[in-house]
Amino acid sequence: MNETNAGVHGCYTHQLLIHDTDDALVAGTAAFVELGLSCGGRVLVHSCEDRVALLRAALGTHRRLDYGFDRDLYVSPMSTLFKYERELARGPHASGLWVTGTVPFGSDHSAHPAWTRYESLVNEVLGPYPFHALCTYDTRALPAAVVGAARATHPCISNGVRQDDNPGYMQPVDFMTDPRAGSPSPPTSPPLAVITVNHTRDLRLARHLIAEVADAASVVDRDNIEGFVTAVNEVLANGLRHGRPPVELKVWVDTAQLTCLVTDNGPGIANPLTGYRSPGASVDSSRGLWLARQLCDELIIRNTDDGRCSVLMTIA
Amino acid sequence: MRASGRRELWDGHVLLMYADEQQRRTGVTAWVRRGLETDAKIVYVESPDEQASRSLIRVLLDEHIDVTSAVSRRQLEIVDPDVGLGPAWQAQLVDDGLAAGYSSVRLGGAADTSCTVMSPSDHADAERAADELCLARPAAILCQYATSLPASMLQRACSMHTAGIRGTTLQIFPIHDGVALAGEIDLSDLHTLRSALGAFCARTTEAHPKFVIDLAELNFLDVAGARVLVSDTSPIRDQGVVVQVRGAGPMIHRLLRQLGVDRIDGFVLEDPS
Repeated sequence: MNETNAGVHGCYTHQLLIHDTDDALVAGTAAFVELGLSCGGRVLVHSCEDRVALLRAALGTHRRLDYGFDRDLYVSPMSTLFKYERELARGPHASGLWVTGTVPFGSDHSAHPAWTRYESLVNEVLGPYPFHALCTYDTRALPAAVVGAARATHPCISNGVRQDDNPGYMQPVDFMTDPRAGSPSPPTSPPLAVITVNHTRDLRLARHLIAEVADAASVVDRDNIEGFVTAVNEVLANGLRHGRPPVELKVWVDTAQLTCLVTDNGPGIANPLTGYRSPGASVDSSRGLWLARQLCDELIIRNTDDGRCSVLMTIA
Repeated sequence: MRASGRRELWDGHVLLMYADEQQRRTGVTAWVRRGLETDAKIVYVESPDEQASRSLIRVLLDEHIDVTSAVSRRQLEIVDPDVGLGPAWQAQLVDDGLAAGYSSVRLGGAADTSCTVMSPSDHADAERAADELCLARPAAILCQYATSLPASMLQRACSMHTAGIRGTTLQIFPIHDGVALAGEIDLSDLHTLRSALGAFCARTTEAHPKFVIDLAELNFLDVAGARVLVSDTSPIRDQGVVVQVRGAGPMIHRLLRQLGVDRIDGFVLEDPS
């Protein structure tokens, strides 16, 4: 441990280690784990089975050191993000939670942007907490686009020994509109259903519409549909309360995914990342959005140039 | 979503709580429709001075209910409040209706006007008599109160309606040691939920250290409604009453947990049924 690191231990850090050998991975991870343990923190090393075995052999055991598999811990980007947030919000982790591993991008390239956005949103959601992460990116296994995007989502770059500010880092709110984020757009096909919500009494009709078309045409899990209906209701209610009616709801259904787009004519939601951070005891509208984000796979807020606000939501 | 709530709650001595005119119209229309479908005699008390737009016939026509034939065969009758409205009159009304061959008798009106012109004790007597009539005879009585009325008045009204309280999609009725909520809770019924929950909470006494909120018949709950369940029970929880939420379905249970309701002092969230 060197003195230059001491200033960051009490607060949030999110470092990127790009490597192309197992030795570099082990050395970088070992230094991070040692620092976390010496600071009194709880340390989690997560990865796939092979990697965990490799790292466990090198790092050994400690009562504050845990190993975990991605298939248990990183099921989906949003569930992982909010799981860490809940854990940090509840626990008195004065010495911090230290996490190292590789986000499970997997072989399905269409899932990569969601995990890339997760990396950026970690800064937004976990930034207020004593959370420390070392994200290891193996250039032998990961596509160049994924590694390139990681250079914009980590405020610090590690070379295994020291950390430097990352000049390529982008604030999450800016990154979300960057092409590398791959933020989803509404489908180009015509929606299956459209309903206009002018009044709170129309909310029920909107909920029943989504539930009915989802039941008829989708293989999405029933519990997920109920959660999604709750999420869309919150966004519609938000549009009625803070936007300008009429609030329009469009619904698309395919066999594997439900998509809703809610649009109103109000001034929009000033911060498109509203609802990622836990609202704590606040009573403002962010609580509804915070809950809605946890019940969707995606919830993308856009303030359009023509003075409208749209919220795109999906669930698979 | 589970099966929809208790339709029969439009029977008995029902309190319709409304935050706006559209909500009132929707409720009154459903109440009349239920009467026409069950072949009941419907008597509606309405002042001749009532605004045309609020009058029952106008409302029913606007809601596309054909009432002309029901009026011409006197199944639906509008009466002037000057007839007295007392318990004896109500009982006679039921006798006459049943003698004429109707399955039951329904009596409705805007109770919020009567409780502003009657003394509180007379009003309480009238409501109590209505309650007894509905329990003893095939009768249904609909009272209407605006949620903007003073809290003390709403509180009294809630405690006098044993068959429950109706919002747009929400139904609230008293149970042994608390309340049961049925239907759906969203922004449209937030005022009704607050008024009724506040009134029922105020009925808890030191003899009842527990206040049950039964959600077994509730099909939907939004974030604002969940927050009301917490905020509006805080006065009784501060006095040591334990609020016990039971019967929540999986989704509502998940919502309450995610909002941290299960970790609030004085709140017990039972596992999903």
